[in-house]
Amino acid sequence: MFLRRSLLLTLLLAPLAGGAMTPAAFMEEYCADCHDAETKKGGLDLTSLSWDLEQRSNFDEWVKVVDLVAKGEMPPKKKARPEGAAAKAFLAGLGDALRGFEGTRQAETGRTVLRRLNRVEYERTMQDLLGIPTPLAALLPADGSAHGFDTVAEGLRLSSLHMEKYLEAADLAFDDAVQFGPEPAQLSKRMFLKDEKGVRSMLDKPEGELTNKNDPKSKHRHVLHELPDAIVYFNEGYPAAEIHQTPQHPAGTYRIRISAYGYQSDGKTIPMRVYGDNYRDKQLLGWFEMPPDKPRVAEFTTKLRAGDHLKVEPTNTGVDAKGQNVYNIGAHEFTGSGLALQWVEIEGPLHQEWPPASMKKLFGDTPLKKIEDPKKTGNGKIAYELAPEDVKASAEQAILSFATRAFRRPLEPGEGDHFVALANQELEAGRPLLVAMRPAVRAILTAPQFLLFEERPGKLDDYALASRLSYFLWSTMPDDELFAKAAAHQLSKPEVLRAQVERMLKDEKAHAFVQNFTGQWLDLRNIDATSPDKKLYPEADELLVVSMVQETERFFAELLNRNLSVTNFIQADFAILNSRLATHYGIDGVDGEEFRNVTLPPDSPRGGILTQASVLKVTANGTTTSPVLRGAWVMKKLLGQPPAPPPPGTGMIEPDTRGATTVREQLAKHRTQETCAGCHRQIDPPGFALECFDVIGGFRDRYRSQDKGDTATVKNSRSKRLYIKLGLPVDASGELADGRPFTGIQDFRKLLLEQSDQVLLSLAQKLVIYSTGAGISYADRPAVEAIAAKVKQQGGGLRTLVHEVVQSPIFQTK
Amino acid sequence: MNIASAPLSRRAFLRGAGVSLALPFLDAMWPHRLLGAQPAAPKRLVAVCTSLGIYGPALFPKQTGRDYESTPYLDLIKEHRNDVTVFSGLSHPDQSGADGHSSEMTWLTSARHPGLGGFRNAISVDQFVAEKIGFETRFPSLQLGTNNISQSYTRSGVMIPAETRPSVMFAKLFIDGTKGEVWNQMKKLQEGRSIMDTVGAEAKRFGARVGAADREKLDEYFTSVREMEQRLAKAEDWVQKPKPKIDATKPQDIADNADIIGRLQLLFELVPLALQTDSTRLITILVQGRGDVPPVPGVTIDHHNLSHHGQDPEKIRQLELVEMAEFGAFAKLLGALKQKTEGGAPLLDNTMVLLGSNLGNANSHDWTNLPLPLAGGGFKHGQHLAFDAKNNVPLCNLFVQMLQKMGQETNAFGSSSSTSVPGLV
Repeated sequence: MFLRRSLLLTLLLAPLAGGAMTPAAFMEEYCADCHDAETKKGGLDLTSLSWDLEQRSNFDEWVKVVDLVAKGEMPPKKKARPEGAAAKAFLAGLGDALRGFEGTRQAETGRTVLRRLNRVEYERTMQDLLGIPTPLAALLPADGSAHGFDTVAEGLRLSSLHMEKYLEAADLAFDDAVQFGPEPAQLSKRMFLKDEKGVRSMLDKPEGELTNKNDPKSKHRHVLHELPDAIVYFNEGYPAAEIHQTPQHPAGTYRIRISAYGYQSDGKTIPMRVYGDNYRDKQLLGWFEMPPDKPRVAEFTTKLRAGDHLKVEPTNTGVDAKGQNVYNIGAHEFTGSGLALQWVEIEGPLHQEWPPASMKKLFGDTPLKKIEDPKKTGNGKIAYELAPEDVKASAEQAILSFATRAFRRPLEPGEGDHFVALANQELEAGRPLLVAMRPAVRAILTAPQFLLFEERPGKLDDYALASRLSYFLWSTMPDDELFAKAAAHQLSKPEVLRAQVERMLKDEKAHAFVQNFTGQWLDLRNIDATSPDKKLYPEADELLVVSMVQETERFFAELLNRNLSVTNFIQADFAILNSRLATHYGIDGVDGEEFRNVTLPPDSPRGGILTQASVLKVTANGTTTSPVLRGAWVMKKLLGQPPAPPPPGTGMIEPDTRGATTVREQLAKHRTQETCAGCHRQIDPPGFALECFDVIGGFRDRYRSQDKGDTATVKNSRSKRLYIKLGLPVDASGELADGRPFTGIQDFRKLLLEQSDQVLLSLAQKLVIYSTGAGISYADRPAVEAIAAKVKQQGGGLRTLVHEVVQSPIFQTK
Repeated sequence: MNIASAPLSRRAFLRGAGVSLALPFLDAMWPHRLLGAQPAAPKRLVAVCTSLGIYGPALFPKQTGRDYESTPYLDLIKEHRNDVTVFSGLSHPDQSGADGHSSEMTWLTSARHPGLGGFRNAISVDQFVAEKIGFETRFPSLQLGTNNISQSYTRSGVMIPAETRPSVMFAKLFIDGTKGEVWNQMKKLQEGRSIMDTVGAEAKRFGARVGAADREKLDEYFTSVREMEQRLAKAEDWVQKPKPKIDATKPQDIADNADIIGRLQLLFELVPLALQTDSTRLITILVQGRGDVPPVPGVTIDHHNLSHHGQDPEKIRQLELVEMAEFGAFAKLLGALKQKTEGGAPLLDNTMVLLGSNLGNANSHDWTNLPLPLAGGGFKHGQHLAFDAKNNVPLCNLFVQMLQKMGQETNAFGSSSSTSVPGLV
């Protein structure tokens, strides 16, 4: 056989303790029959696989060998298989060698290679560093992700395009930080809808007047209705209530109050959507269930862009019991529901100080002087000026203090010189401080110390640890307290670290962790990648999709905040719901837009992330579901055991919605053809169990059809008049790879619960990847297993898991 | 205190159309092509990808060779029949990726398993050429698209964002800035260079503190800084040269994002202008119709949904309407490239135009058997070249052949296994 020739390493030829056979002999005996140069089963030729571990691909291939033997998948059942002891000795020998090799390399270089800020981290860091609200992420090139996350060094490449964009972003940020103007006037105004010009022109024009003189059909019709105390909007879209009575306002945070009630709504609430609209796009700021007949004042605080005006629209309105649209019969005759809007108040911008904090962050101790008579300068637009006593000293102080924060550690002697020199050049050319600061600040914001995480092999120093912790839980730079703890060399003490994690998780900045981690772990960032087919899924409105993502984020946050067990991801007896989702899930008694913890009825198919609409949506396209894709998703995301990609030349199933065939029938081949069944026995079962959920996560016992089928109304919606066609019945039963059967989703989840250790381990892996910026290598496995074991001992809570990750050596080492 | 450089004016300058920094991508500084000493017309490449696939049954002829019977889509470009080769049975190997649309990243790069594990994208075929000849034109390459995603990737696998607004691209290409703007731009470029100088020095200091494993990453930083310096220097040259004068007016952008056909058409109209003025020789265009309904008469369902037609005849009918509109725009592009001449020959003869998709069957996200009509560029066209539908020929073989046609001395690109595809000469 050829095997011996290539296995050069003595290890492979050395007999193992206890006189067991050498790894080479083991492979010759059990593997080489199929995996030699002639047969090359599964594309693997072990005889040509050299023991050159420096080659990443070789190393990975060996890990695969160890894993398959360890799992008992190789040698396959039909072939001669080693006894337990022989396999164990083989695995120990090879495993130790692989671990030893990688362990040595990690000790030398660290497991995390030099990584840069991703664009989310960049934006948040710039905002904190400069005290500005400016969005910057969209300006930068998209980040790659590796091992499932955009925090991993391998995916975060650099190019001259990045440099170009960093320079541009720094310019923009500098502009937004510099505010010499007078304090913006405070808006505080109650605006009545009846006073809106747009409303008046629609209502004051008599009905019947031609809008187009040459078109007798263009008779004006009132589609709004004026009440003594309100204007009623019926249609879900145009004409929407647009508030134009506010003067121009700067970008900032505002408090908004809106008074409205449901009109002719038959005792039901009317969802009210509120947008900020700048004519290019509109952003949903919030939505509220407005009660029937009695006004409610909805109050919230939100960010508005400079050009935004408010726009308010109702949902589930505009069509009466007979199916007539308000457009066709006019508001007077119309008996369907609408939203009676009374008034809107805007207060703000809400800020703590003026000039804003950004000025201090940028110019340090340089005094800022109020200009006595601003009319004389810049038309009243300039109210402050920099008043340095010694302009060079001021520039130096400002630059050094800015660089210290930007670099997230104290400067080394002389480290600020280059930046100060850039400013001095300008000053010496007679330019003022403001002009001189710009190149220095832009250089700091393009420097490697700012863009890259500085970590040295071995245990992280306190500042590097502060950064790692801060970017893990906040996706931004450390705050003053973390810096202070690092300066005092306190941070690496376990109890200090624990207290800091607690403090940080309680801070609202920790939402970034929830959002960025779940956004990638559970693919929530892809929520809008496909839009549900309007004919098949007429109930899929904007509020549903928005609520889906929030449910999953809030569910994760609930586990985190209450330290609930990670097994809740598989199976939970509660859900975090608002009225929109409760309707969608067919759960009664949940009123209002606020999310809350709802105990699920015992027979509910819901509970755990697999049954959440967000996950069910991102694992489907807008039209059909595929058990293969959903099954693979469960293996990859929940169990951390991604199936191998399909071998070359695999046919893909052709989705068919005509109603004559189901996806299960199409997949029948998988069960009969041995070559497919090998993998698909593992992949498909979770997907089969999830077949009882459609592409928007609604429960179904029949497939919806474009063509054949019975007409029915949509049940999981408050809009009564949505029609669909119901086709063939859904079969959500199946059997696991080991033959255990399940009848549906509830049953399946019980079986899955038996794998909760694997789910915990997988989540620990993902948190380590996300927080340390490196994939889990073979040598890392014991460390991650230790984290999972510790968490399990303490009850398996998600918060405990975060603590144990932070406390682990793997987190605290480069 | 002097506050003449109020923030607003600077920002306005930066954001202003027509004066944005038009930075060329290039590796090294080279002397310009000598004016007047340029006999042969340059070779160009235009690659257009419709990332939601092209419905195969309406495109692929049943017969192979020159005497194929036309199909609904090919009917729309029938006047160019002898300038087009239709390929079938070409694809990149190993394109199963993070999701069904991942191969959108690799249509011009062929990197395997996009988005999975430690995936790193490779350089795209247009950038491969831009690295070598990009210095000869004001724009080494152009990226256009219906959103800001493009198909062009740098050597380090970073996507170059696409310009979506024809008016902005037009201004970059043809409208000179005012004297003040040019002066500001020069100042900005010079400031950029001195910043790059400074951070380059900082990176050296930084490098002294990092280990061997980090050196590779730091090198990436160094290279980025060095390239940026060169681009800035190059840009300073171009800023002071007047832009080509042409007989066309600035296009009006289409505000409706859903109108991918109208927007594609406007982008297509820039192509002959940019090529004939030799402003660039490499253009990639990505049509990415995702979640909205394009205003094509008879279409009521959003484009992405249509592509997942599930064999629903109505959806297929509507999908064909959208794609026929795309082919209609393509026909106009070919027509315009034929009409414009240089040295007596149509522009098309020196311009390879590839129209295709990264999906062979979008209904099932199948990335094999890609739809790929190729026009112009000096090939002998007029055929349907069909290869094995089960064991596809690597698309990169065609890329190598195209690269050689562009005068690139290379025998391999990406996953190529040969330097040409059989039958194409």
